[in-house]
Amino acid sequence: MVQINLPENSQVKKGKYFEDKTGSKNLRKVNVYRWDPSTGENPRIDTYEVDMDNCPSKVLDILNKIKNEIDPTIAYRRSCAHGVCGSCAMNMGGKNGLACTTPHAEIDGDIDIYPLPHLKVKKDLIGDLDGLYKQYQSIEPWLKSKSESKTQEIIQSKEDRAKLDGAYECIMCACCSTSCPSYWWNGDKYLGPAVLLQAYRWIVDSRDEERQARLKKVADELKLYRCHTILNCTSACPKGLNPAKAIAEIKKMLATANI
Amino acid sequence: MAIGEAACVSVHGANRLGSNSLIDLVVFGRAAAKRAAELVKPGTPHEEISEIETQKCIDRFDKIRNAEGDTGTAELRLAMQKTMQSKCAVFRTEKTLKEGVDEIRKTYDGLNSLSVKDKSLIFNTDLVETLEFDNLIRQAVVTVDSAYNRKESRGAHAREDYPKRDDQKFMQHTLAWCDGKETKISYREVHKSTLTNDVQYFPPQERVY
Repeated sequence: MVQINLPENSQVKKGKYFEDKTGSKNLRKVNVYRWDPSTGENPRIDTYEVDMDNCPSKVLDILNKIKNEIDPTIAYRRSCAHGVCGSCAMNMGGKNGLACTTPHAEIDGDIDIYPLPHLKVKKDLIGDLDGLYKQYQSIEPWLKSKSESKTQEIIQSKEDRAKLDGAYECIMCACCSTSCPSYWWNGDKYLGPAVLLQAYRWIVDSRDEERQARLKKVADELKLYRCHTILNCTSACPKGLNPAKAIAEIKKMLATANI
Repeated sequence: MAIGEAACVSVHGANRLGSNSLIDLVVFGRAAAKRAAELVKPGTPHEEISEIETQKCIDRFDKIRNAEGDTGTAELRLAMQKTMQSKCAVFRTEKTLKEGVDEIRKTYDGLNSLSVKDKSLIFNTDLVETLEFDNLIRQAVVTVDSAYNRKESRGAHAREDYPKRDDQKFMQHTLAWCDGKETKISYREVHKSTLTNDVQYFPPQERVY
């Protein structure tokens, strides 16, 4: 028989329970994934009772409240708190998103907070994004121009500039890629929606002179064609972008162009 | 070599509002880079750092990491934020600043009863926030002391009891030395000339809207 259980040391155990100490009547239970690699212990789910009468509206506010008032050992990334930096991407109530833009009122019942799915966990809610950044680097996300002139700006028409809308806004939070079953399965080879959206962003940039080479580079059974239009990426994107469409556009370019 | 805020080369005097520091980046960043490229031979190893300096860093790190007091970093940080926001905001008076000078030291004393719960060495955000607080509270003490001693209004330092700029006494940079919660305040002349004759020195003017 094939063993399909998680290995013993990956099984998530029940963790500590932090009872409310404020005497609030308006409490919510928040279950948070905890794992500290230095202890050698299994991951666990700690439960915190949080006073919602004195908590602003977003999931990040809950985490800050826990860290500042209940348990300072909890580890998560956060920076801008305004949906711009992408640091606080995590899985809340079963859905990927940014903790700073996700209202806790939209989550029914107890609030479950996990790291982004299928990443190697560094600690608690912090996933290892090294692989994703390497893939991002592999698409060479910078303008490539053979033109000699280095002193003149490269003019772009309004129409050409508009082609970048919906692609340049990506903040690389990884909500999309880590929601994609195909990326879960082949994350080492399939580039995933976040990186492919960026590949698209450079392919359609009218100022870039290596469009053909860029297209050729992603035209790969594993890098690109592991996208099976599941559309989890588009549903997960906290910036309202559509990576699935960008991937489809790349496929269309490859199908219709002579490369 | 120092550039930007650390260098304080008098380009903008007291006014660092908005993106004025860009000129520090562009002009002095470029100049420093060019000079560094002249001075440093590629592949030269870094000068050996003395054991004492390294040990100082490790001692500070270990002291904070092993802090077993009863006050959490978040509590002290909040007290610091509240003091700075209410006593040392843009609009200040002798009274609020004096209160700030005393109050911020109470928070500073909190360093003695600091508690760091997370002792691990991987992604220890509790420790990082405490190290940040240790930096910030010293900065706060120096800031409020400097503001208290500058009895004039200049740039973002708006003293309601001294609404005018006083070039006679305060057309100079504040220099502050921080030794624990004790500070020594001194002053340094502002450069009133340009390096070349291409442009003339711009004397400071009143900011009017």
